[in-house]
Amino acid sequence: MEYGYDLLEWLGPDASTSVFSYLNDPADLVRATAVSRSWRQFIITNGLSKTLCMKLCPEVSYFTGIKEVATSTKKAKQDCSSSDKEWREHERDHKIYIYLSSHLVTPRGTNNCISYCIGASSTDNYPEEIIENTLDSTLSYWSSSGQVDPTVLESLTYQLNFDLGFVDKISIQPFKAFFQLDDPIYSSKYVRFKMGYSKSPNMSTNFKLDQGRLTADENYVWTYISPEFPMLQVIMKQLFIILSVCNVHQHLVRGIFQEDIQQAFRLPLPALCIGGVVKIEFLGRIQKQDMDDLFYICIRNVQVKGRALSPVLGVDLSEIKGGCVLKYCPSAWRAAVLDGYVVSGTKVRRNLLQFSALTAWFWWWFVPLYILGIVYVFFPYFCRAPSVVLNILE
Amino acid sequence: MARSSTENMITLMSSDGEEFMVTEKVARECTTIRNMLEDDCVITNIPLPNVTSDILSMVIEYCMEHVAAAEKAAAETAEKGSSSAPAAAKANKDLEEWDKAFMNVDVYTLCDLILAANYLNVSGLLDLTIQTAANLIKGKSPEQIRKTFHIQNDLSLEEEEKIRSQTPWAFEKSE
Repeated sequence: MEYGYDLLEWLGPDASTSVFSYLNDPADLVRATAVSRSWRQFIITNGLSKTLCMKLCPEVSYFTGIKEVATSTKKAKQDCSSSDKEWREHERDHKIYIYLSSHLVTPRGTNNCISYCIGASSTDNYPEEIIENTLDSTLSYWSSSGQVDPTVLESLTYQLNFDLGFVDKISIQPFKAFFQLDDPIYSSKYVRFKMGYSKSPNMSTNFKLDQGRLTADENYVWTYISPEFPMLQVIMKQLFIILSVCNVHQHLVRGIFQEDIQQAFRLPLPALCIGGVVKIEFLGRIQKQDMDDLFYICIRNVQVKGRALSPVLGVDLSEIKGGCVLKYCPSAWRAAVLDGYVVSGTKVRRNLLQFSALTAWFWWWFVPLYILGIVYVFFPYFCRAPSVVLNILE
Repeated sequence: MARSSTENMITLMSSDGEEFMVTEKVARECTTIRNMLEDDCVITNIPLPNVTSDILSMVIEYCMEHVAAAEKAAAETAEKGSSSAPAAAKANKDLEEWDKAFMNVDVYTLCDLILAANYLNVSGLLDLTIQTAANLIKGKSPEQIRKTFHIQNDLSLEEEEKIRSQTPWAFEKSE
């Protein structure tokens, strides 16, 4: 076989683009850029990394442009020829979108990133039951106002500690009213998450006291809307119906399964949060309060798990009308690469592997031993069972 | 009228002058030819100057297999009144197996097949060939890709090292 022919030239730009667009892993695309100069040029000038990034994370299409946070070294390079400048821009875009997609495919450490509360759709008792109670896991809680109609929607809106980042998981702990008869849990049927940015940057100071306006949908641009997730209470209700057929008492099951535990909702794919506003919507009420016969929703704790993309990437929301602009800081990117920050994902993955190996070990050894132990201890009783039954009958 | 038209024979002529007789139904698998037939009903001889005889014979083989599979499925549905899911799944799996075996070709043939499928607009074959080509890139190191596609490495050591150092996570899985 002879060397020197070019696959890309042979196939032509259209067919080559379709071949590369069948790659779903950014690592494949990066390795393809290291094959030859023509491959590298083709992938970068055709913006294939952006196409891939948009496939993995459609929220990226909200960006109307890229703004470079100027550094002193970069300015010197500005006065070069136009074709060179164009190539540099393509290369920069490629770098940014590969950086973004790498965050999507490799798991990284996450932490709770709620900065402060923006507001709740309603509050029953102010200030005893305000939204700020959901920030810690103490027994304090937020309560919605009571409603006759169980379909009235309630929501909690939070500001995260970054303007651009990925959200992986949202945890919600409904409140169990331990001071009321039967310990009712004021949960909802479903939850849904919205992420985005506020249309006017100074809104939070303008409407400080008007919570309804602070959380109104028309004041925000939602760049991400999650599917609806069922809360555990709905699943439990179905389980109760099945168990009640089998004559198992509800309280017995309630004792085993703690329904007021923190429920984690992992998003199907990490969601790009542009602007750092997260709204949690509670759809459908299930618990009535005996005293006034009204439906309520009460939440004890909320956590949003994610990771910021700053200082490498940020978002410029100052010119909202023109859309949001992606901010890129080349010096921070270089520092991140040098620090091995980009590699850290793989370290986390190795830890995860070790963990799963440990659990597998546990299941393989302890569970069969445990079952053997039970059989060993209770075997005599099993054998004697018929005679025991006969004794009782007599 | 529609029934008789399916039995019409059409002659396809490759770039090197070889002639292939196919039924109209098989020829209609290619959207380009279907459009020609719809524009002009009496056409019987179609020259295809962009496709060589060995590639054209492969394309026809693919079309014939897929037409036969579709006909078989339709016949089974008509016989039983409703299509049974396991039988349809098995037929699908058989066809997939056949596709897989059909794609067992060298890179040059694969590239020619992509071009022919693109020119004749056979969507199934185009998807299949492009997916196969993409699979040759997936999970491979740059060196392996170069070997598969017979590409000469014209990147300097420095340039390659730069790509590796900027995105080390991309090079861990393959090597």
